[in-house]
Amino acid sequence: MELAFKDYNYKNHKLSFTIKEKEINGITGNHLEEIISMIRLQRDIHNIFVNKKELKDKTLKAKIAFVRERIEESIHEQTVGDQMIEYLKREDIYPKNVLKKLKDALKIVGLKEDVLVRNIYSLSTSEQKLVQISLELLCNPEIIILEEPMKVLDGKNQKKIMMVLKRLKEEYGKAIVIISQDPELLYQETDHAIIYHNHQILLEGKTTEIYQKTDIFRKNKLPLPEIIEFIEMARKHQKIEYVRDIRDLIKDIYKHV
Amino acid sequence: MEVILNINDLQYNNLWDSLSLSLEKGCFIAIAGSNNSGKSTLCRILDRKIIDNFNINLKGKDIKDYSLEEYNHSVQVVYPNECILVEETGEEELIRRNCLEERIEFFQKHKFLKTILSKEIEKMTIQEKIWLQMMIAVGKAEDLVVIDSIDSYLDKEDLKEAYTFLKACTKAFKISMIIMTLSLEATLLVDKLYIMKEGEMILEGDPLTILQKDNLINKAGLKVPFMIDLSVKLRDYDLIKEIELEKEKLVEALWN
Repeated sequence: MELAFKDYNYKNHKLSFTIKEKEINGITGNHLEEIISMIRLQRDIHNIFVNKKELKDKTLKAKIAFVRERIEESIHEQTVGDQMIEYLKREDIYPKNVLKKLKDALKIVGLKEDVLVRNIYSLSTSEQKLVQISLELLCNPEIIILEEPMKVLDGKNQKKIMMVLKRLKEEYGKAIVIISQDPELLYQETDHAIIYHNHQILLEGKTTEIYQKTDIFRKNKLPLPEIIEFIEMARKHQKIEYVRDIRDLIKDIYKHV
Repeated sequence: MEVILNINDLQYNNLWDSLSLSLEKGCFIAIAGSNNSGKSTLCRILDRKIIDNFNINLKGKDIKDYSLEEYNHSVQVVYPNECILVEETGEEELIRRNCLEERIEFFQKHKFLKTILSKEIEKMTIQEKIWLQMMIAVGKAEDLVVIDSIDSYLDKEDLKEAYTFLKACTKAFKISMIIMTLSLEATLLVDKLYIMKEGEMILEGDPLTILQKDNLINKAGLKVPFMIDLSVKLRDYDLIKEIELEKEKLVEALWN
């Protein structure tokens, strides 16, 4: 689906890009804060266009969710349960069975109902991130946009969060959008990549193909994943495949040494 | 070498069984651990924000026995998201905090740091504020600087620059440095690396030796930097003989 921002105009450039449904999308580049503020602010003033249709009020809330980088920015209540109830009220959602609604949202991200009575700041860092995602699931959005979701997480917890995002994509049909400065994360984990550079979309397409356009990345001083940098050097000697996983790279090197 | 800090059998809130560590004067160490492994708690203990019956000595004296003024003069702790900067520019902030003149001069010699010092604090990015906080800590501390996880705020290249700067400061001013980290990306630049897992230091030593222990590092929930990970695996398959940290050299070792 196409996402367009009506009020965006930088030197006559309009901003629109494609979010692939049921895929993990990644947005990276410079001035990412512009994209983030547009999504955050324009969500409130209702002029995001999805597939050329302007979304307003509840239709917008039901379509696009935004998970902020820092939990402090979106949490106001002490316990997880109170925060979820506050969220339902804020978004004008009145389910018949509130408790079931909360439990279901937690279950999707793999959290047990006992976290409802826990103080949010007593949870581990990865549990806090999962609570942030489960809050947004209360609106049942089609698109879940996450700002730097892995930044404060260790390797093990990054894998845990990625598994949840993949499940949301595969089992629940959500479009996931990761906004991140980390080229390794984008290359390893996304299916569709959007490179935003100097206030406009520089590249957009299948992640594995986008990251093979190394000349464009270099020309624009954008960071490349280390595995790509290595493969590029190796390809001067042998026909090494562009792979994402280090184990696949080793298998390929083994064939060529 | 003179030992400046001794932590003996530290126990707190089931975070550590019996954590012990000693730090030499002028030494730069990194303590890496997963989320919730107690890195920030250790910072607060060393900052005396958490006080208990700990056995921690600084220059042979229990840290509890220092006056607040003495301790602040000796030890500075950087928390990247908890700093109040009130002056107009970075340099004014350093002067207000009574940073040593020779150290401010040292910072001014570096083009990048000089730019930050002359910049209005209000206009600084979060990354620039972190650099300023590091300069304040290094500018004040006579003996020890402790830095809590800056890796979630800086990208890989910035992180390497930060480590290089901190290392240069340890050498120039003979101060010791402890950096807490989730990321192992820049840890090759420290003198000694510690890996924490479930309340214990499971690995400690020279960073290049430690970073080759990929299984233990992964079990601690951490990621081995790409080039070391690749080199170790290629060496295990007998495709190369030695660890190569540069891509070009690794390619040469494989095909030339």
